[in-house]
Amino acid sequence: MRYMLLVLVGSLLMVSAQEVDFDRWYPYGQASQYAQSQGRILMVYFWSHACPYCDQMNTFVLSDEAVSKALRQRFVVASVDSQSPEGRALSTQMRAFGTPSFVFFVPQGGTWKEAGRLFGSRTRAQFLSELRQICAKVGGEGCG
Amino acid sequence: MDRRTFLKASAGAVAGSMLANQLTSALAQGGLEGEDIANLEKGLQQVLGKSFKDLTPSQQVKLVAPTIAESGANVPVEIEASLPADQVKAIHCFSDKNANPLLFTVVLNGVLPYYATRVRVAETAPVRAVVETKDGKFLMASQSVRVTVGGCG
Amino acid sequence: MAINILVRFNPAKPKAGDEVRVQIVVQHPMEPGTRRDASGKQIPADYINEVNVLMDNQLIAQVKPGPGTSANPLFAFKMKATKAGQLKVTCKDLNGQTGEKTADLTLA
Repeated sequence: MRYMLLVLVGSLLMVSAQEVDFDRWYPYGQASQYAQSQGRILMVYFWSHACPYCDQMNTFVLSDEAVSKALRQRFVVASVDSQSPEGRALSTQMRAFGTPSFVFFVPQGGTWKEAGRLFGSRTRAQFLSELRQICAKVGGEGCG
Repeated sequence: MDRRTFLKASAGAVAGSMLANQLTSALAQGGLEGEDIANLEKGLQQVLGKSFKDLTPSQQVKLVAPTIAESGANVPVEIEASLPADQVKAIHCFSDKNANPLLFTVVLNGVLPYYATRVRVAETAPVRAVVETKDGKFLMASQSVRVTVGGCG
Repeated sequence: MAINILVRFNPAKPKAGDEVRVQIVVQHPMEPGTRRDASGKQIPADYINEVNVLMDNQLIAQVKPGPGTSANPLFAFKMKATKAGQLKVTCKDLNGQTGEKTADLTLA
């Protein structure tokens, strides 16, 4: 038991010590772990394959240089397929119906505090300003 | 009306009211909705070595594109010039707000001055059809394509 | 793997001297290089950057599409159907894949 605990603590330390690539997105579990360990804002992105507005976000907005930079600095993105079993459970839990949806959380004493939510596609400029607003509301450096 | 279109319609209404301000300011300046000459200029210089002011708006160029597109990923455009085929060298197409404003270039050599394709438009902005003539003129038709913002239910 | 090209004439058999619309559809993702996949990684650019249209081996049109052309692109032209002949379409993408398709234009 003690050994297992050590391994667990060890792996958590490793997570915080190693370089995490915040330019990409992670499954929900991994992303929330990174948000906790690195004190980042968790952005849960619900998408679906069939939705043209998600495609628009993926092609033009989430890949935009300024948007990517903002996300890379302060956020960690959880990529959730809203049609998957995990995605359905998470969207019910987070009351995120429809795609694209973005729900923001900040780690707070072992739990999560919702910091904002967005539904629907938007332009690059608008999405960027909303990210900055959420970042500023949460506080800290590097909100752009 | 199914659920998806309903959500889209309501999202559209919200977006519509948000866009209203931007639209009014665009109209006040006399420009097309989403116009971004500074960004367009990059593409024009790179591809044609020309500036926006070197392009001549012309009725001889007909550009057919939707005024509203559900997705910017697949916007049909059709360009036709009412000029003799042997006077047209090439057709170029740009969109003001794309990171890379050039959408395509097509060089014509024996076909009629017509071209149709489907393009990607990053966000609400004018699409510019530029017909290059053999005697070095650049004739232009512009039309704004509004890329709707919204979501799926 | 060769790129698949479809060619259609409209009308299928024009009368001599009529206008005919040549519709070319190519099966290709036309990855613009800016799209993020499900894990947020940017999918490398892979689009067709050259399409050649030849009539009886003479180049009649050349398209330089780019990241701004949609997936499974359509390229449509109009020409005067002066005589029967063979239309050939060739294309290549950024990865060096190529495609070729011939279609016979017959007059009514």
